[in-house]
Amino acid sequence: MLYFLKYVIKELELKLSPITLKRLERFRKNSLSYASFLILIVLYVVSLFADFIANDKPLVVFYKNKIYFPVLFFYPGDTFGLGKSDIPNYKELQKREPFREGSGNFMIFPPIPYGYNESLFFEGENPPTPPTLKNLLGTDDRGRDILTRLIYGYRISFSFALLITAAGMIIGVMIGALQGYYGGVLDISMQRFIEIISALPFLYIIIIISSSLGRSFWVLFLLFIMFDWIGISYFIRSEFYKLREMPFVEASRALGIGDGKIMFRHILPNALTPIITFLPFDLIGAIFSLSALDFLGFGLPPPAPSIGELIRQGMNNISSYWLSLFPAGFLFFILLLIAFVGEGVRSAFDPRDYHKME
Amino acid sequence: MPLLEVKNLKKYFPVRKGFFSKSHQWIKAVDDISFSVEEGETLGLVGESGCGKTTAGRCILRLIEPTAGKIFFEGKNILDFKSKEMRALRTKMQIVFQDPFASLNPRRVVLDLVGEGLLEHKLVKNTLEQKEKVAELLKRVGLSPDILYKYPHEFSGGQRQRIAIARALSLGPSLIVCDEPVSALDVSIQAQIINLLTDLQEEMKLAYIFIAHDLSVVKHISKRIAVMYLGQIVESAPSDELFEFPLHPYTKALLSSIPVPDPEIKKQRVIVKGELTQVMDREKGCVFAPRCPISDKECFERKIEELYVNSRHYVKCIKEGGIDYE
Amino acid sequence: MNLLNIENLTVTFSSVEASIKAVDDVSFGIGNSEVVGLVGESGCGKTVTALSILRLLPCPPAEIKAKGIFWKGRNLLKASIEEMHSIRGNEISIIFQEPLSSFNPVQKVGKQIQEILEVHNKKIENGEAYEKVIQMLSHVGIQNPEWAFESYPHELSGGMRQRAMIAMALMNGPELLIADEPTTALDVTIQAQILDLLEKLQKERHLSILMITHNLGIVARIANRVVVMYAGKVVEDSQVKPLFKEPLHPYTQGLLKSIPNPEKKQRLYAIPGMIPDPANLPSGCTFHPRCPYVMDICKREFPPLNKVDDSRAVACWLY
Repeated sequence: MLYFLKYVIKELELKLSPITLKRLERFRKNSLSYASFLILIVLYVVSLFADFIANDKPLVVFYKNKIYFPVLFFYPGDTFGLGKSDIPNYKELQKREPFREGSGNFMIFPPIPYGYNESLFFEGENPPTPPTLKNLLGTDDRGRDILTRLIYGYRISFSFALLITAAGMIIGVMIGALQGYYGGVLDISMQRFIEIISALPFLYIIIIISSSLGRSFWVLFLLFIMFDWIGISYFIRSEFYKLREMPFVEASRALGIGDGKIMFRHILPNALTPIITFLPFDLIGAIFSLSALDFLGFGLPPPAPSIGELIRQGMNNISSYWLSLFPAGFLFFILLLIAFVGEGVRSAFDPRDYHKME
Repeated sequence: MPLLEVKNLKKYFPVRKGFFSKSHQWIKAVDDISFSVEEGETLGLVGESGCGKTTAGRCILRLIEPTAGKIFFEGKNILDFKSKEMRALRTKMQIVFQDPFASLNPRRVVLDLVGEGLLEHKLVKNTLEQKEKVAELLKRVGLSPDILYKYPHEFSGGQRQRIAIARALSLGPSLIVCDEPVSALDVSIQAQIINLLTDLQEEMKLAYIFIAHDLSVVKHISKRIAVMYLGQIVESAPSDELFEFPLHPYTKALLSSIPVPDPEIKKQRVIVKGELTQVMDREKGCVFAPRCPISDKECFERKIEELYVNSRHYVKCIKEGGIDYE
Repeated sequence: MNLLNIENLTVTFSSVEASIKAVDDVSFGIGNSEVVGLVGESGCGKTVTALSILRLLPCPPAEIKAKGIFWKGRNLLKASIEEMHSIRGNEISIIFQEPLSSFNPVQKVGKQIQEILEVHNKKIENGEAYEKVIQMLSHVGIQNPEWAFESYPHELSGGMRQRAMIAMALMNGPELLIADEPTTALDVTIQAQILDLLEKLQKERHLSILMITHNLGIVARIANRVVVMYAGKVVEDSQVKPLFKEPLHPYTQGLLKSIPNPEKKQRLYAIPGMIPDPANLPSGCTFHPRCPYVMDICKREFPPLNKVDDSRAVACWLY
């Protein structure tokens, strides 16, 4: 295990070969992909700080000459003059006596002063409410601010998708590598096993298991991974089959280098193309599948914010256009950006001069 | 005692008729060959594509597992070695490949390519020592030590082959299998590499098994030459003797097919009929009979044995010596 | 008058990084029924020269500049695409080094050869075309032409494929055959067979052949004239016998000396130095860093191709 980590870090970092540098150059030149890539990164990083952007707890509270950070820590009620076992509701608190103008105590709320699970009530209106200045994208059927839910939802779905993709890739690469390198009985039996798993209907299995085991993050995670690794293993298997015949692999064997080291040091770096080109599309698949599950109600358990769940509300409240338009539009936008990045990566790895033949 | 002695080496590949059927037919890539190589000497293994010379070379290093036979290195049968002993053997036997472009990993720098084995077998204690040793090796093969951090694609074919030779030398072997090391190079570079190999042989008392299809190249470097056809050695002799007194019709055909760079010389050609085809399950008869210009019924029926013309020259032909030139 | 005349051909390849002159001011001609050997090592520009005759180079990134490439008096570089289509495979044919990649692996061999015939003879009938292909296959030495016709390229051996390619090239009776290293990928005995075949066909059909190779032995056997190229330029152009008897250019001399001669056993002569990087050519005469007779002027100016006598010309300041 230690070997594995050491090699991964040593071999894949910093020793950027000129081949890799050229590919990065080409990717950077493709403005559409590069811009998409930057936008995705920025959006994701921003969403990681969701707590500081949209929250019903203030960032800072200055009370009786002490500074508190409710966004980071939990303070029991008696810190602010309430009962000992009361949970402070900061918005309520702000309206009360100790925090009036000029008292020297104040609170600073995040730019979007709503929690993702906070139901807002408006005079004379039933949720869901249309977009207003205060709720830029409106509220959902429980009165929760949609923009807030989108930010938190993006964070969860993207993180989840990244985790699944990473874990699936690692497993798929390892299995594909073993299959391709050793071939023979190992390969054949693994192939049969893969065929059986591929025949299972993914969505149904998840629905069945979710219903029986209950919905949870880890159940979903494990189930996704069980299916996700298959895709990349096909590519890696064929790359390893092809590359193990190369003279430089034979040369290493002649030098007495062990199989594991050959696979990681020699073959894998030359087999990166399918991994990198497959990755964005794997990511798209993961985000989409998760949203689909949330839409059907089998995804993450409530009250987790998710884009799919919002879209379902949109379906149930079809006259409230903001419930369908914004979440679906956002999902579409994100997937489109990833697709652009994927396309850019693919062409950076495999440029062809297209010329006219006479 | 010879450094390497190969006895009755066989490598058969099964022809599968289906997934579960037992193979009844075999491709006899290497069919019962025996030879020996002395310390510091070169054996040339010559033949055209499909004759099994490359497979034989790989078997000697156990990069492919032989089907049968014995391979004695320094007196011990290496086919009995377990993995630990095989690992130690790697430092004594190495190989240089034909394709200088494919035998170097394009994603590694020269330092790694040449020095990989050094660290693996703990011949150097740390990366600093490794660097020194690699620089030394590069100088030995005529390259500048500045190239340690360059990638293979920055070099020409001849330079890459030198890097490959440096890699083969890194573990200090006593035998190097050279698998058509100059076939992919230009003529002027071929000469440089052959000279390099001969120099290294003298300096370091290296033994070579020089595999090639070009007889003229082989003659320069080999002390003995074995001519292979369809998995068998059809003639084996000291190189001068082979050229002056070739006996086997195939050897004669090979020699006469070499285009000579002199328009005045109209060579007497031995015409070989047809094409090389794999014949399976050949129990009797000469392998070359179907294409031989002087073969007759007997050649197809009898079991062909090695005929010793003198103590160091044998031929596998029952008709040697009576050939009509065209 | 020469059948083919290449005059001052320069081919440049441009990419983002550099502009490389693969062929630099090359001129030579091929006469009727003449076999010209175009000799040089890798990177010297011989294949590029051959491909530019038939305009098979993608332009961009290649750029062809020349006074002209004259085929029977017509400048091919100024011909239209239709004219080029009617010349390729018809008046001028080309065969390549790797017959496996020259044939479509998913089509039967016979069908591909027949196609060449039909493209240039639109009115020919299927039966007649089939007969002609079988005839040609047998003529090039394939024992069982009917079987070969129905086979796929991978089912034939290397030698047979090359014969099939020659058959394909000669279907329409061209006057010039360009052969780009046709035997390099073949075993030496098969090579001899193929050269025999080419010799025979050349005599029968009064074919002109441009034989591109790096093997001087082949040239000695089959060529009437030899053009030696180095780093994109012609350095010697001579009748074959005088060239081997008395090579003029130091590069030619070096090449001949470095061929291992089975007759003699001594240390091989190796031309010192390396073939220059096409993006970084030496000044003046491109061979000067490796030349044993280098003089001052060699470093400054590239020598013109001068006729030494009726049968030969050489580009060297020594003459």
